Amino acid sequence: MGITVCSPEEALDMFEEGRIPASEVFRVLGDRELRGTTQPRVQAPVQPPDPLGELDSMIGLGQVKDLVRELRAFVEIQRRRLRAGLAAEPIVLHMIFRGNPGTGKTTVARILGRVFREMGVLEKGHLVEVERADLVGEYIGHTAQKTRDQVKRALGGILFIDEAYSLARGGEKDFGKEAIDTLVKAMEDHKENLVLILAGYPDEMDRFLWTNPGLRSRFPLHLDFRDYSLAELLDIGRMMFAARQYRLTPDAEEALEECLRRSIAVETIPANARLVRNIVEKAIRKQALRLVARRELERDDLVTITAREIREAAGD
Amino acid sequence: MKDCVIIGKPNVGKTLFLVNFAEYVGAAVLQFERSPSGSLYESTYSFERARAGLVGPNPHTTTAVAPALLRIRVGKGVREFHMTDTAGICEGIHGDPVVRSGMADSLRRLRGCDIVLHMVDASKATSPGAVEAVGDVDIRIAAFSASRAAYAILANKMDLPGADAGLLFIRRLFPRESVIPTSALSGRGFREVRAFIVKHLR
Repeated sequence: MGITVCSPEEALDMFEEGRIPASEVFRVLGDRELRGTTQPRVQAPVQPPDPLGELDSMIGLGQVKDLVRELRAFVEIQRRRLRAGLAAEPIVLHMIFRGNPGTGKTTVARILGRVFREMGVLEKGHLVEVERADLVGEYIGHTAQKTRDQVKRALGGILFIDEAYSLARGGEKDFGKEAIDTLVKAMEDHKENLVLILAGYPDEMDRFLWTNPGLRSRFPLHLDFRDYSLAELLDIGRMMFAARQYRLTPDAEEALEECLRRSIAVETIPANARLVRNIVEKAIRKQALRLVARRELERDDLVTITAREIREAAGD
Repeated sequence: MKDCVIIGKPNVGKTLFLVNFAEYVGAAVLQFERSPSGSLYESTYSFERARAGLVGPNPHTTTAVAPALLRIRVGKGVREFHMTDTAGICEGIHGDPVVRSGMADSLRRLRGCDIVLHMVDASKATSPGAVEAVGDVDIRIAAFSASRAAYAILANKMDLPGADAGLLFIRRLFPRESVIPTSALSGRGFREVRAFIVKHLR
């Protein structure tokens, strides 16, 4: 519009004078009054206001962030086409997440749920996280029932199946097959109100989809979660400490880098955010242990993590 | 006193709805409060005169905010509230200052009200270019109102051909809102609207 409107009253006056359209008035009213002094009559659940902002604040994940933006644009445009009386593509949002543990799959799924709810694609946008044991039963007929129960819990949100490839383990006679069939049926029955995400190690997921071509065609979106680089892991560590109101001494920073470098070199499964979180949480406990015996403590002591604690945390 | 505002695009049937709904809930006459924008209305109308004098086939027949005093019988008691007819909100910028002033007052009223009845024309919901067609203004009204007042969409003119398809379209476009199919002419949906209002009057 090119006009900056300051207050709702001014916007209404400008509308009256024929300088802006009604839609612009609503934009100003919405901006002001949603968080303004007039309290909303319907209380929204307490949540960080902007899921996309939260996604942006996550470290790395470049490809994932791009895809989420793309999806948002796609949904918005399909909706506008519908509004304009044009043919709209059906919005199918089932996804495959490929990545090692601790590369952010669950966190991104949880944020996606909220993004979809904001866009009005999903009614609730909650995340139901399940694995093989939650879906597969012990006798004939048990599996379909268990799977349907989980689907029911997830309606209006996202059903996130971790290590989904394990459903295909055990061959033809395994009940995992029944779970897959039930899921496929649920995807058809509830396609308006359910997003299914299958997640797991890249190699296993590839094999799983390869042996179940019917599944592959039903999941149009594939997201790869790369392993974090050393620099990204360090950033994650710093953020985790900062979020908990701790500070690293320069020595401690070096020690953290050293520990992460070593575990990347040694581990067969690449290091990840979960490893960093373990170090962070252990270091905090070690620091508490060091401080608890002392009689006088400054604010500075309470927030400082030293190299010793990092080494101890990474050591055991 | 609680204020229930009927808002929507021009010519979707807001005024006729108010008149016939007032009659439906058992009022003897239509009693308008003095309009804040310098009244264009006499304060009391018989229903016949209201239908003849206030309702018209063209857009922008209503150019001022007109709160009417209604009483609904609930159990043994009577609840009073304002049901406010408003000037239709069009897309873009209207050339007539009188119409614009009425629309601005309508939006002002919308800001402070307790119950929003957002009326759309189901028979022309998807007609491209029609002034009644569901459009950006409706999306904005829904987004604005749903979070701060009791809110329902009235899919009006269900007596006309094509309205069923329009209703489907409206339900798809606003999947999270309650949509009540109505006909201001035939009285369809009045019972549901009455129940909706009563529920939110306490």
